[in-house]
Amino acid sequence: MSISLRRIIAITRKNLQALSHDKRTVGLLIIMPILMMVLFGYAFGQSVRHVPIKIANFDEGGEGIPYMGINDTKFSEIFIKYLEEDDRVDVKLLNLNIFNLSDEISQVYGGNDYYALIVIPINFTEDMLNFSNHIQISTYIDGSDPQTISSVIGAISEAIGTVINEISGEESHLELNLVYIAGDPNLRPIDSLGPGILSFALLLFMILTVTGGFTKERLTGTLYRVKVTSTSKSEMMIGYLLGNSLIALVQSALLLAISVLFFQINIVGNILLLFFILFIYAMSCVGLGIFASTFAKNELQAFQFIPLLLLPSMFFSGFLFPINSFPIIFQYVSYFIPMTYSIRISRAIMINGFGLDMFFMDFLIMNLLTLAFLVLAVAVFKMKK
Amino acid sequence: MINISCLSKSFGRFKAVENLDINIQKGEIYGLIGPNGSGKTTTILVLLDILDPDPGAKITIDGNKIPERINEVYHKIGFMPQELSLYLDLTVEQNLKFFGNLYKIPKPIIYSRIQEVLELIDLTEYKKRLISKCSGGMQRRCSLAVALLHNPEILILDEPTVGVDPELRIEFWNYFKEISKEKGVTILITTHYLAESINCDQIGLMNKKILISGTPLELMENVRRLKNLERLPDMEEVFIHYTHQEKMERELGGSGK
Repeated sequence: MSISLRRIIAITRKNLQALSHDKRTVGLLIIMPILMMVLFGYAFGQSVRHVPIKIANFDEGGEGIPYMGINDTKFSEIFIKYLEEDDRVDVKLLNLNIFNLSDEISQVYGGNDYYALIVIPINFTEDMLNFSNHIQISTYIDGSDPQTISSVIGAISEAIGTVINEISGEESHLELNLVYIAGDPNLRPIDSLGPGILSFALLLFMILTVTGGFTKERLTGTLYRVKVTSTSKSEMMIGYLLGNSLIALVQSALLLAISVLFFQINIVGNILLLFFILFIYAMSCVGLGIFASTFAKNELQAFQFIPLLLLPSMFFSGFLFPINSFPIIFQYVSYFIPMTYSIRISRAIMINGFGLDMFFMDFLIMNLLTLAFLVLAVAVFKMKK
Repeated sequence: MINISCLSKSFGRFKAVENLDINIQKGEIYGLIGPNGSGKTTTILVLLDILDPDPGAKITIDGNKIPERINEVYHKIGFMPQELSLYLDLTVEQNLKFFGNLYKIPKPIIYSRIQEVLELIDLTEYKKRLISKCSGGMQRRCSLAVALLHNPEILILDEPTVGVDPELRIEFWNYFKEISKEKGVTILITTHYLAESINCDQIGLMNKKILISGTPLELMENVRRLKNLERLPDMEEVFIHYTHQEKMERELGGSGK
């Protein structure tokens, strides 16, 4: 099968020209992201639940000092018990025999496994009993996601407060020593939602235009007229891919400009790399849109499909809730959603300023998923009635 | 040029076309005449590989088996579908240029060719108008222009004169006759305006299958003879005669079983 560049460019140009005449869609392209930033950024602030954290408890107890009739009390265990009862965090106790601080800290980054590591010092109980003024609990935390941090810090602070209250009835003389492994304690919800909104807005817009576009081509019959020019479905699809990915780049630029100008979001990393990632991610969205359009007989049906495509990405990609807070089955679902990777990568670029080497695996998987979606789209797409 | 035999097409239990046979010679205007729902459009869509026929159909276009070798003949065909089949958000000219590029019309002549067809369909002064802002008649004319754009050897026109005013309709037919006689263009045309069929070289009266075919004059003469008329009947009378006859035969056949 021959692929003609001239035809592909003609299809790409046709889509862009049609968009330029469609003022309403252009308006949607601009207003929607602003609205989403505002709605999600300011309205979305509830606490996140079941954030996985790890505890290394070095507390050696009070050397036979009885407390409330119990010998060898370890106050750390009361602290841990409170954390275990708190549904904001899921606690895992580490085996101290194989504990290696730097290994554990590296696992905390990116919320791959855990969001925080709490290290309780050897003399925790003793210092508590002596009412020492400098008891420190070190907490290593991934601060890329402010919502997650506030849940974790909230849970730890409450547990400490309760322990102290129970023992002495006095005010806290215990310090929480927070060490941020990634991110920044001053991050606001909008900082971490920003990259998510970027990916989500692209998905929404690509699916709307591609699904709507192809359904319209079927309904008005232009698709069949294009077929009769001996244009192949590959040429048609590549034309759509190019046109829409270009629109995606413009929309990304717009979204980033809005983020920086109106919401003062910092972009730490390489912005060209970010555009490149979003370009590839947009293609996976186009693939998804073509896939959906083949199952719709009319525009109404096409638009009924759209929520079906958007919801999994919205909920299971880590856009609104951390992936680890889902039941395990939905965590597996998240691995097959391109948006999961595009959000992870764009957070890494925007918030942490990481380069390609830091998220190469995510990048690779996102490319494979994009390819798979496009192959699937080619397989099901028909230029026939 | 176009040979169709044993073509049937059903949608579920509904038979849209039954055992259709058509032969169209090069340079001929063949009119597929029948009421709405008689299977004309279905036949054309199967011919162009937009619909799959029921098994057993034998179709060739210019000696090429369809659908296997359809890509060899697409560039010879100009197609005007019954549906609008134009991009509403593009102008008249942008639509023409888009399809001109898909047909790979050589770049140096694409603009002059667009100009020619625009003049032919009398849309030159509206070329910058969006299709969505054009009247129904203008849209039909633009759709015809797309079909003519790449100077095809075969024209397949599905109800080209619907929504076109009478004056322009006559001009269309004159143009069709001109290109078929002078350039040898083969034209397959459908219409439910029975009176128009007089312009065709050959017609097939269709109601799911070809009831009868021949030149318009032959069919009219036949009916005049059969009904002992003093004058030649018009095409409507011819059509009613043959559909009535077919219905009678079917009912007789049905009761005989």
